[in-house]
Amino acid sequence: MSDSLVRLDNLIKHFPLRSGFLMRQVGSVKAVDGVSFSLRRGETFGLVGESGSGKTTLAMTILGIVPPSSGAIWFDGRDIGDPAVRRRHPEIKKHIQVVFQDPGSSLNPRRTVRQTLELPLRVHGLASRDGQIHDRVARLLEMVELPADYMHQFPHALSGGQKQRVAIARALATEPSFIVLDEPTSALDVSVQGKIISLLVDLQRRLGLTYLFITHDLSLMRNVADRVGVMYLGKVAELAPTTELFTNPLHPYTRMLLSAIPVVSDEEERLKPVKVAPRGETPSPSRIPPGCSFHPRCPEAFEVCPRIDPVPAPAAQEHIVRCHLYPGCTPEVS
Amino acid sequence: MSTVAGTFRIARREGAARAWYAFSRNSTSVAGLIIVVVVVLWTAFAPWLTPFPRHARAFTDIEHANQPPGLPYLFGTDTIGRDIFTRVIFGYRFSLLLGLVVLSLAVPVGVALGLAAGYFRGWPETVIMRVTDVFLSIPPLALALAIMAVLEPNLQNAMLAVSVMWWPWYTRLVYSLVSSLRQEAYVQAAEVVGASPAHILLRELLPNCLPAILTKMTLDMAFVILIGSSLSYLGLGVQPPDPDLGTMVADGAKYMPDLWWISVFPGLGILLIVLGFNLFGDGLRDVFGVEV
Amino acid sequence: MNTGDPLLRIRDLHVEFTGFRGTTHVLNGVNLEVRRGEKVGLVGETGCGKSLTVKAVLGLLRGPNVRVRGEIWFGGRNLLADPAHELRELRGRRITMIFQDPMASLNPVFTVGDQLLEVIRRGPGRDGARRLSAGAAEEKALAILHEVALPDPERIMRTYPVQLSGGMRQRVLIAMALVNHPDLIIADEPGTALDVTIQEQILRLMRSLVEAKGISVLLITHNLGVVRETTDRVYVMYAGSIAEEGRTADFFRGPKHPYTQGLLASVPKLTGEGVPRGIDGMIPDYGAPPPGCRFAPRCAFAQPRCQSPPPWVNVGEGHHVACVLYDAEPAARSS
Repeated sequence: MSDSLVRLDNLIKHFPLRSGFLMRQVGSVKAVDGVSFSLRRGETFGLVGESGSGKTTLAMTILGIVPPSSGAIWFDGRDIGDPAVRRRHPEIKKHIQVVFQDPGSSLNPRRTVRQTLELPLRVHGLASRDGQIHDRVARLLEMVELPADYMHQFPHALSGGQKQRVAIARALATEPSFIVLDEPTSALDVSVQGKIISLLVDLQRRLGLTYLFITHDLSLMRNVADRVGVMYLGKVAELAPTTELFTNPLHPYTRMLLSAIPVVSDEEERLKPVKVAPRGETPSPSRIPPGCSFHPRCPEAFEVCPRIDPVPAPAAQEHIVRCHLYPGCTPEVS
Repeated sequence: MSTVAGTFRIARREGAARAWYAFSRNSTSVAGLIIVVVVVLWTAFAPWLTPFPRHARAFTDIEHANQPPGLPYLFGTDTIGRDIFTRVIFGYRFSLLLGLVVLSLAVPVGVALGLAAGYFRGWPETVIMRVTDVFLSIPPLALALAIMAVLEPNLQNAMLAVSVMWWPWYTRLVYSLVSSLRQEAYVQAAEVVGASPAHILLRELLPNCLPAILTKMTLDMAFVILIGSSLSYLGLGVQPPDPDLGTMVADGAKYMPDLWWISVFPGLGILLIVLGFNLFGDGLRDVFGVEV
Repeated sequence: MNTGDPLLRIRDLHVEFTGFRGTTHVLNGVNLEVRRGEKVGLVGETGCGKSLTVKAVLGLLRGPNVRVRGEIWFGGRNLLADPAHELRELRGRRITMIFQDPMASLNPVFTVGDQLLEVIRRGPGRDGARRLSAGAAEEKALAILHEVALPDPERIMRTYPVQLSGGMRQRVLIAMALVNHPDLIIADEPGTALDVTIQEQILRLMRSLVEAKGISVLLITHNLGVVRETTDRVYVMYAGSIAEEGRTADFFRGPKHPYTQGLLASVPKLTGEGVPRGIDGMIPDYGAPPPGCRFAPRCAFAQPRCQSPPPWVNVGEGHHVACVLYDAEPAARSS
C-alpha cells in the first residue's frame, strides 16, 4: 500500500474512570477500541458514527491532541501516535491540520483574522517579516475566496460561513498534505454548506490534499466521500467505497442508520434500505455490551452475538464488514 | 474601499463605540465613571484646584482651628487649623496611589500564576492553588495587620502588605477562566498548529481573560482603598502630617460628636470614591458579561 | 383533521428593535396559522426570524427596545393586546414548548419527578379540579412517563437530568409538554442535538402522541427532511416574512419560491448527485433591508417589480407563494 498516506494499526484509546477517595480506577471509557484502516493519498475518507462511536477521539489521536493507549498511527514512515516521535519531529504538525466543527469557537474572538492566520506561518518559520506575512495571509484569504482586507476583522463581524473559510485558510497555511475535517459544516445553514463543501473539494483537487471527513450527516457523506467507515462504540462496523456502502449496506447498524435519515424527496426515500426501526440507544462506552457490542439493539442478533466479538472480514470488493452474519467474521474459538 | 489598516482601526473603533453604547444605557454606571474621573482629575491637579494647598503639609494656624463648615473653609478646619476640604482632596492621592501600586504588583503576579496553574495542570496546578487557598482562607485585614506588625508603619510597607495578600484573588479568577477556556476549539487549533505554550497563554488565553480582570481591578480599587484607609485609621499606613482619609477619620474620632466635621467629611470622601469605583465596576461587569 | 377556526393565527406581525445601530426591522409582516390537530412546520435558516416569531407568541418580547405590531389570535384572544400575567396563565397550560437543548431546559438540581410534578400541579386537572391530590399527581406523572416510552418510570422520577441520556431527557421534555393536555405545542428543533437514530424515534413518538391526543404542533426547524416526515403543512420563512406556504406533500414535490427551490437544491441527496450548490449571497441587513422582496438581491429571477412588496399568490390548493413570478394578473391581486 505504497500510496497510503496514513495507516491506523489497531489503535486503542481508553480513558480511565476513577472514583472514591483514593481515585482508584474503577473502569474505563473505551472510546477507541481497536481501529485499523488506511487513508490513500488524495482521497476523501468519510468517518460516520453517532455519539459514543469514538470518531472524535480517533481524530484527536491522529492530531496529537490525545495520545493513544496502544496501537500505532503510521504517517510518512513514522508512528505519530508516539509523543516522543512528535517531540523529535515538530514538522509533523505542518503536514497534518484540522478544521473544527464550530467556527464560532475555533477562532479566537479576541484576535483578528490576520493574527489567527499568521500564527501557523510564524510557528513554522514560513514568514517573519511584516510584508511577507501580509502577502501570505492575503494569498490564503484569496484561496478561500475572501477579500484580503478581511484580515483586519474580528470573528464576530463575520458570518458562520466566512468564519469557516478562515478556519480552512488556517489549515492550509502550512501547506499540509492531510487535513482532518471534524463536522466542518454541521454548524452552518444548508444554503451555506454547499459552498463550503465545494470549496473544500476544489482545494483538494488543486492541492492534492487527503481528507479525513467526519460527519453524522449521511446524505452529505454520500456526495463527498470516496470511501466510508461506519464506527460504533469504538470499532469500525463496516467500511466500503461510498456507492457500495449506500447501495449495499451489510451491517445491521449501517442499515439502521440509513433508514433513519430524514430525506427530502420520494426518490431518495426509495433508495433507503427496508425500514429498520431504530431501537434503543447507544450504551455508554464505559459499559460496552459483551460479544458484539451492537447485539442488544440488533434486530438480527442470534445465538453467537452476545458471546463472541466479531472480527472484520472482506465481504465484497474493498467492502469490509464486522458482523457474525457474514463469513469470516466469527473467529474460531476452542 | 478604505485602506487595509484603516479597516482595522474602524473595527477596533466600532468595538469601543459599541461597548460605550451598552455602558451608557445604565445611568448608575455612568455616575460611577463620572465620580471616578472627577476625583482623579481633581486630586491630580489639587495644588491648583484647592483653596489652601499649603494645608496639605506641615502647617498650623491655631487661630482658625476647630472652625465648623462654612466659608472659606468648606468642610471646616481641624484641631490645628488646617482646611479639611483641601486635605480631603489631597488625601485622595494617597488612596489612589495605594490602589494603583497594589494592583500593579498583585495583578501581574496573580494572573501569571493563574495562567500557569490553569493551563499546565499537574503539580504546578496543585502547588499554586493550594498556596492560593491558604492565602484566601485568611481574612484580608487580619493578614495585612499581621504583616504590618513586623514592619515599620509607613505607606510603602502598607502597600507591600496589601499587595502580598491581594494576588491570590486574581490567581483564582484566572485559574477558573483558563480551566474552561483551554477546552475551546481555538486553543486546540493553536496547539495543532504547533504554537508554543507561551503563545497560547499570552496571546490566546490572556486576552479572553482581560474583561474579567479589568472589571475585577476596578471593583478592587474600591476595596483596596477601604483596606488602606482601615490601616491608616489604625495608624499603620500613611503617617502624619501627610493627609490620608483613614488617618483623618481616626484623628477626628476622639472629638466626636462635637467637632463632627473632622471625621465625617473624610469618611464621606472614602464613601464617595468607593461608591464610584463600585458603580463603575458594576457597569463594566454588565457590559462585558463576566461573572466576577 | 383541520376543521373550523384556526387555533393560532398570526396576522401581519412586525417586530422592530432599537439598538446600537438604530432601528432593525426584523419581522416584516408574518402571517401564519395552525389549525386544530394540525402539525405545522416553520422552516428557515439562521437569522430568518423564526425564533423571534415564537417569542412573540409566548409574549416574551417586552422591553423598551422592542416594538411589536400586528395580531396574534389564540383561543379567541389577541395575545399581543393581553397583559403579561394573563399570558403567563396561557404559557405552560394551553401552549407548551419543547426546547432544542434538553439540558438547558431541565434544572440540574431537581429530580425529574420534582420538575414533572411541578408542571402537573400548575395545570388544571382534566376533570376541572384546580388542585390535584399528591397521589393523583404522582399517578399522572407515572402515566405520562410510560406514554413517552421511558423504561421504569418510578426510577426515572427519582433521577436527576444529568443521569439520563440525551434521548431520555428529550422524552422527559415531551412528557412535560404533553401532560397538561395543551392545545398547542411549539417544538423548537427537537432532536437536533440528538443522534439521527434517536431523533427518528423521538419524532415518531411525538407524532403518534399528538395525533392520538389531537394536539396541534408548531415545529420550528431548519432541517427540511424532518419537516417532510413530520408535518402536514409547511411555512418557509426568509428574512422576516413567509416566502411560501403549502401542504407538505405538494410542497416538496413542487416548491415554487426561488428561495425554497434553492434551499431544497442545497440539501445533499442520497441519490448521490454531487455536492449541492448552496445559495449565493447573505441574508439582508435588517437595519437597512431592501425595499419590497427581501430575497430579491440574491434571486436569479429578480425584476424591477421586486422592489415593491411581493404579492401573496395562490398557486394550488392551500399553496401560496410571495413572489411576482407567479402573479399573472398584477391588476387583480388575490388577497
